[in-house]
Amino acid sequence: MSRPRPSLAQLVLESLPAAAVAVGVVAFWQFAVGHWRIPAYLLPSPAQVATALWDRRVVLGHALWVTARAAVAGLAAAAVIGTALAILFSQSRLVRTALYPYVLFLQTVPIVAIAPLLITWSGYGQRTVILVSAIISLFPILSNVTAGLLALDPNHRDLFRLYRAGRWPTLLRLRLPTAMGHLALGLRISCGLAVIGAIVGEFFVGRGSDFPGLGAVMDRWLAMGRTDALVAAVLLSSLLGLAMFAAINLLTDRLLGKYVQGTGD
Amino acid sequence: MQPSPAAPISCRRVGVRFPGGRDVLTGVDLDVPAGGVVSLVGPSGCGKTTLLRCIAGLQQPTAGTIEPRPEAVAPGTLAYVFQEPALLPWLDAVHNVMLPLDLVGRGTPPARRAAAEHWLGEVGFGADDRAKHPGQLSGGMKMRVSLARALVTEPAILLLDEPFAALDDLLRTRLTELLLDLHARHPRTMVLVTHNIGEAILVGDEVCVLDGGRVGGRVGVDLPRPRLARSRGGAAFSRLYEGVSDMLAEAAR
Repeated sequence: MSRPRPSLAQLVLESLPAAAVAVGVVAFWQFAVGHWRIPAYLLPSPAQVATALWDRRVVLGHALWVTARAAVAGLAAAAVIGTALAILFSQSRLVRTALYPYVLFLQTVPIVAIAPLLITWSGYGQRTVILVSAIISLFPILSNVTAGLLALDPNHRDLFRLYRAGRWPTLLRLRLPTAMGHLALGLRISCGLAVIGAIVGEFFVGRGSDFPGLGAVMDRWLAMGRTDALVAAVLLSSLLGLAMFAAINLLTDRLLGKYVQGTGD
Repeated sequence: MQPSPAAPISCRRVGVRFPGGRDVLTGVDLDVPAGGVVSLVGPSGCGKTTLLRCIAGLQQPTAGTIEPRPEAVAPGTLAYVFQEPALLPWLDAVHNVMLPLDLVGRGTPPARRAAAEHWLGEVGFGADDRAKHPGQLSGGMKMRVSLARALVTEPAILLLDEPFAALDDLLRTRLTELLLDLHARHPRTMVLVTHNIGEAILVGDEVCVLDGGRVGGRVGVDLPRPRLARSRGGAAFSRLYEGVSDMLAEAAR
């Protein structure tokens, strides 16, 4: 059965505890900065952060847009490449055992270690940022979709064997639809990683250019000691991650929802 | 869609040894005449489902022969109803029933749809529910769709592996009557695996008891057709029930 959609009033009611926590944290933050006279270069007050956010709204708005574009492109590339590789992996155990260690390598190698290499190969531009974002988001999608392609219901597999469905009809009509729920899960895990990847990529790319992304402007403000603007950029980065997660949830619910519901067998 | 003529099944000394070395079947001889129905009963783990899977070609016997050889008949000649409905959750009822025709590439898309709607009608599935997905259907409805899916290729041989085991008694009785009715209107060779002795007698021309990896006993069912669930009340039915029960008790010992 499909999940009933909660009403707006229910959503507001359910968001109240989290909103109350946020208000409490901000109030305590504002109080703590004043009470213990914490210098602004260490921790600016919420009011100072809000002022920095307003004053730099044009730069931050553009930076948010640039980073969001790179994160979405990185996630999309990871989804396409991850699904294509997963299909390849699902077709042969030999291919799986030959290539999987290298995919694991991609997951375990620290991204900050290969980012400078990627700049050497791909330059100080958005392409490198997208590349870093795609590499960091690839593994959860690849491993989840591969698991989905291989995790067939034995009865479904028998049904396709009974009617002598070949490799391609089985892939298109059974394996891929079965794996759609796993793709949705992989995308949900990877969407936060895509934002992290884009920002890490921008840190490095920003050091050799006037790249306008969030990571690059954060790196510049760090050097300038503008902690208020830095915190404003951090908040925007978190909001971007949340927005990506919400968008992916909505998209996967709409597009892949029918693949995820059970048969209730 | 041309129905395949009912075909006889002949198993000769069929054996199955699992990779661990355990013999599940040790020499099954079983004959089902064209259009005939045999019910297979036996204790859990006696190899009923394994035999059915061998007849369907889903498992290779390690000894003996089975006719028709599954690989030698056209796809769609053999149909199998699983213990669970095993519907694809992303397809609605009509597309689930169309699936075998899509896979064997039989008929045009409109002809496939018409065949699916026809068989959904034959199993008593409401026209209003055809666009529903499995997650929106009850257990009984899903099993009707599963039956329609098995019948849509007009198979010569229908293999049923405890298809109603998970349903409540009332639903089970209704679907058994549906199966009897379908067989009366569209006779085809059937093998029914069941744990329910009453169901085995009601549906079968013969009840075979699997014991120790082979057919340990047979009871011919001489009840007149058409049969109804209420035929269970008669003296002849009780005599048959006792006969099969005694054989099963012997097999379980």
